[in-house]
Amino acid sequence: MPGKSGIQSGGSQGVGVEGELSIPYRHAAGRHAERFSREMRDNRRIMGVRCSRCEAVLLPPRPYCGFCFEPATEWVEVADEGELVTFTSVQGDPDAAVFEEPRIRALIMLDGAGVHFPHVLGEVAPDDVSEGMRVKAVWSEDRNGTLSDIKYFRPI
Amino acid sequence: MSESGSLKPDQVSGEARLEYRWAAGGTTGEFLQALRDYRRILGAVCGGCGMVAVPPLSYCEICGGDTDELREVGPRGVVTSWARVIEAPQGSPVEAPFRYVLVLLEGADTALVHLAPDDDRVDVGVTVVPEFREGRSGAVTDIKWFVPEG
Amino acid sequence: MTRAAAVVGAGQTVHADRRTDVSVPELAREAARRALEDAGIRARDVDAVVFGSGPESWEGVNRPEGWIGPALGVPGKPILRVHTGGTTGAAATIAAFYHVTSGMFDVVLAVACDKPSERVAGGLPDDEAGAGFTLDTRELAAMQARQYIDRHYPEVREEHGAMVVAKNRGNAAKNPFAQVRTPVAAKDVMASPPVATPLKELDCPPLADGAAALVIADERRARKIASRPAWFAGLGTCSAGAFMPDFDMAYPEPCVRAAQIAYQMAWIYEPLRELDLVEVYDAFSFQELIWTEALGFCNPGEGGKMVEQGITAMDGEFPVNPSGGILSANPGGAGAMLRQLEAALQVMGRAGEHQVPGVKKAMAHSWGGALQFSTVTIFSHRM
Repeated sequence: MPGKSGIQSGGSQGVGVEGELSIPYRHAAGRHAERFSREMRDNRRIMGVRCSRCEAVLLPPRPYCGFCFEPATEWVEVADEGELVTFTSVQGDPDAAVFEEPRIRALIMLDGAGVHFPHVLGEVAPDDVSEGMRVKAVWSEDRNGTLSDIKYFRPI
Repeated sequence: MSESGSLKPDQVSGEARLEYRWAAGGTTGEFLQALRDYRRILGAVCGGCGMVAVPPLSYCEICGGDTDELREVGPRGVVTSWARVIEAPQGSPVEAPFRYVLVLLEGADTALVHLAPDDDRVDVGVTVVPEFREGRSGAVTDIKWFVPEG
Repeated sequence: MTRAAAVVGAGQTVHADRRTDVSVPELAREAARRALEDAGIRARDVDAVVFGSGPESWEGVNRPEGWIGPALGVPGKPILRVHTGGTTGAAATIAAFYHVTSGMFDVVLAVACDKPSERVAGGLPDDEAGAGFTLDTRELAAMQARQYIDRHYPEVREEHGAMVVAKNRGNAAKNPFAQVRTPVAAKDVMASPPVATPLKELDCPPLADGAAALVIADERRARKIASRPAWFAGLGTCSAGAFMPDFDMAYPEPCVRAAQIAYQMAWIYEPLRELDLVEVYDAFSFQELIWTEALGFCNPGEGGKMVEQGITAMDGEFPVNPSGGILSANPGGAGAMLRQLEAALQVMGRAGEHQVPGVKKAMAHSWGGALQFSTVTIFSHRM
């Protein structure tokens, strides 16, 4: 929905047109995302699907395998723990706002999964993180079916 | 920025609020400033084909040439087409019912899309004049709408 | 391919942090006009236009394709808008190549434009299962860099990223269109504050408003227009899925495959020996090393050695990014076209102060999306 718009004039800065838009959205999550979300929210389970050809267990679950384009129909539970593949300690957001504490983003190979799982690490200082370390999910009590149902992964 | 995203879990829904600021460019900037500060409507005279376009751009939409100069057009104009709007779209600058009009301003070669009251005198061939708003911000809606002359 | 095609004209704007004096169509017009002037043709000689630009929310302006024809001086001509993330500009060139080689059009103008200073924060969420944690580009690149360093340490260390920045910023000092033209030393890069480890501030690119344009013509017109056209010799594109962690980021499959396709088309067996230089999409310092390896110019793990020994310097055996690369000018999707533009100018012998002597074959690379789009374009001085 278009809001108000108007100009800001400023000599050598040229004329800028300013305004604000508000866009409500709603889209179907799809069958796979729906079950993935529901299992996280209701059962604290991370569910993937197995490719019918290469047998990789894919996360998040999806109807086809991105490696061989074959259907992935078999649902498989993967562990909520695994091995750290790579990570970065982020000091601020891209707009240069500095975080109070660095946030550690990570890719994790969960036990039983065939692809990496993106999440954040907690209960650990950036200097103590190393690739290959074992980490486990810390679940939130207040879950709504998104990836933030897991608060973070902590070292085991 | 996307906010309040949630999963139902079969649906993903939320509301994205987007704040924007973009450079109008010299020509559009002058057009909007003239509306806001002087209640004047400017057209662009094409250096290539001589057409006078409203609203003005730095280039010609007809031949692709460079704009030579800005020239005041109107304020009187003739309605070349219109449509009656019964239900206002979201964010409409005026309340329904109203009319969309194409106005060929005096001295211009292209018609300006604008609004008019839902008045049966608004018809093809009728001469209209702009009604400016009091609190102007530098937008084409600084002209509230065009009303029949007299 | 049914008939040959070549780049016969090139134009770009100066890439600046913020262009408040022009609107998006006006910015694109600047580059397009320079390309037409460079080719020595008029707008009416153009048969069709391919326009590359990012999503609306990246530019703050709705439907740029609706404005662009007249803005480029070619109202009434066929227009196609393309978008493939960071490779958008390269995709516009590639689509123009398809236009010409198909026989449909003789002279096509490819334009790419981005105005990130007007970018609307956020935008709509990705349609991704369990949305909530989408990595931004910088975090993705940081994790890619760590995986790469960790695999090849100590042959590759953080210092090698810093050396890439020092090299490219030094090259940019000779490029009048570059955004950042002040040289930095590797130790300055190492001392800059961390933003997403192991990436430091100077390992990351600036962000620019800018545009680029290329005139692409068929064999007959190319010979008439240019005395030394840059002929398309090979082209490879590869697009993988959106789930970014699925492949090996330290040796990305889409890049390897795009290069293989292009080499096959251009009959190239030994890229390092047969090509004279490459312009890679070095959005982050370490990526230059990763792409150098994935494109087959050295073995995995040898990227560090390439920069440390000066092999990839402007006066080295195999220059990488003589223009200064993305680390010195980053106009969003237009950056991918800049790689092609610079490679083409090198082949045409018209790159100016950063011209490498005697270039016969040059390559341009770009990546986009979540590392999922890759393009490789090879230009040759001979058809």
